Amino acid sequence: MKSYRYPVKALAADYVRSAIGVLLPAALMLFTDLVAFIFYSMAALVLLFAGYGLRTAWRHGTVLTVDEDGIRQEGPMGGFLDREIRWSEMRDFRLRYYSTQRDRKGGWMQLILRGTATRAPVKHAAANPGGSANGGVIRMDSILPGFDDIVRQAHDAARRHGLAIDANTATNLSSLGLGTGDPGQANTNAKSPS
Amino acid sequence: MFTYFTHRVLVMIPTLLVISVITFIIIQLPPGDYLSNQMAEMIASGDRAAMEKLAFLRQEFGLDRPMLEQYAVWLGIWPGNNGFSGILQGNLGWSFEYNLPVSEIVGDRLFLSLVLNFTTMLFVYAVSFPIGVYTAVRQYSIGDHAMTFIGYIGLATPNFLLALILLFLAKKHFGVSIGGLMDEEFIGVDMSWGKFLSICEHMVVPVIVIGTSGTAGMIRRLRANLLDELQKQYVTTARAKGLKSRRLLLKYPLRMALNPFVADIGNLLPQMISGSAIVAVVMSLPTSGPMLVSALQSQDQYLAGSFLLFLAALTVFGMFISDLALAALDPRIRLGSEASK
Repeated sequence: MKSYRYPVKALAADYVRSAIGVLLPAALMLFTDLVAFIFYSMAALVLLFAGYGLRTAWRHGTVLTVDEDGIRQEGPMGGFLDREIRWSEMRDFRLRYYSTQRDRKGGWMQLILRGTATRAPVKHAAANPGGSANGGVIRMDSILPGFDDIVRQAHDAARRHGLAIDANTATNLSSLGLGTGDPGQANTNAKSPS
Repeated sequence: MFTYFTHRVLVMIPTLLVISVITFIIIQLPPGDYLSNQMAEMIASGDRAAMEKLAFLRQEFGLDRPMLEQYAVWLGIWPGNNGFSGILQGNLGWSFEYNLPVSEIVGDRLFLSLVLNFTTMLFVYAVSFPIGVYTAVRQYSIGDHAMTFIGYIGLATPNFLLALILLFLAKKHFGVSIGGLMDEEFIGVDMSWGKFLSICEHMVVPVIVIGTSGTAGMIRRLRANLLDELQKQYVTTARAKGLKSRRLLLKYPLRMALNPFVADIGNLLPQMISGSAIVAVVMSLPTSGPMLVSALQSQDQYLAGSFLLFLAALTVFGMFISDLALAALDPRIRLGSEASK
């Protein structure tokens, strides 16, 4: 069993982004008399970046635990948003790459895992009976130390259980040295996610 | 995707700020300003009070202040003579040429420009998508050759020439009055069903004229992308395994071929805006193009600045939509680039 968490250093940029995104529009709203359209646009920006800041803080306190049975996500909210996916129950495995630059460099990856049935970790079982209320999706970004290891384990599990791997995921996996990068590979000899 | 969305929004803020700075610098670049040009004419005609009047007006409009302060006041992040009263407050400034607030002059024109460009974009995608797919799937058929021929004509014909031809044909065969975006009786009148129909009727020719070259280009790109995808190994494998043609086409190759098609929204917008300015002059369209040209010639700085800022913001927003669509459709790493860990 191995545990992973986002270090402060990795999240510092996200905290700064959130602060800029909240403070700039809020300052304009507070200190100048904006026309209605721009006022509501600024309010939407404040809400968006406040949400982003909360998500960053939540990530800050989240621990991901991976073992041979599956992956578990435990956050700082007492069971709410906690998730567990057994490798044998995983029904979707996606690896995405995003970049805000036009040349698509300097971006980050996101791993999305979805389980057929989710269970809250044992210690939160009472708070989340059955464990299906949270939707059963675990997402993580490549700023997480050990991201490659988690991708490798999830990919192995996906292959073992014959999950379909879409073309985007296949290409991104090949950039990490996993798979062949052939978009048809998993589609021709594997079952599709329902 | 949420992370990407917020990062992309955050990129837009400095982009728009830099655009506003560049816009302001461009409209300030020519020597002098509208007032000094006017005053030079008055002095030449012997008006002794001209200098005093000039000083008063320059102070009134803040033209005697440093450029940075003028910019901040114009944007609305620094108080001017009337407190915070700039673009962020809905005050686009004063048009010296028309002697009216800019917002009163540009309102309808900006709206019509937006409607025209948006409709043109819909036209481009609605026409080029089915034709692009058809010409790729039926490669070297009569239909493919015919569409390719029409596409090349569309690419090669100058917009203004096409505008003149279509105006003539529309007048001769459909009785649509030449020029403008509505019948004269609706100009300056509030929106009504009749005015709406008149606008729709008059928009057909400009939309076709502005959209034709973009449509032709899009058809060529979609056809080429789809042909590339259709020749890949996974398509052959899927065919060999008995997957039906339509299902195969829709599920994989078409999705992959759509990426450059979607990414082109960002390139299409600036092309259409600059293209529509020329067409608007030829067709006497009451859009922003002709007025922008006139404002730049007369150094009517706030009027020109408002137009430029609006058009630039529209382009930035178009790029934003394009990037979001592309990120949703094609979240792949490019060979040769690396994800930062």
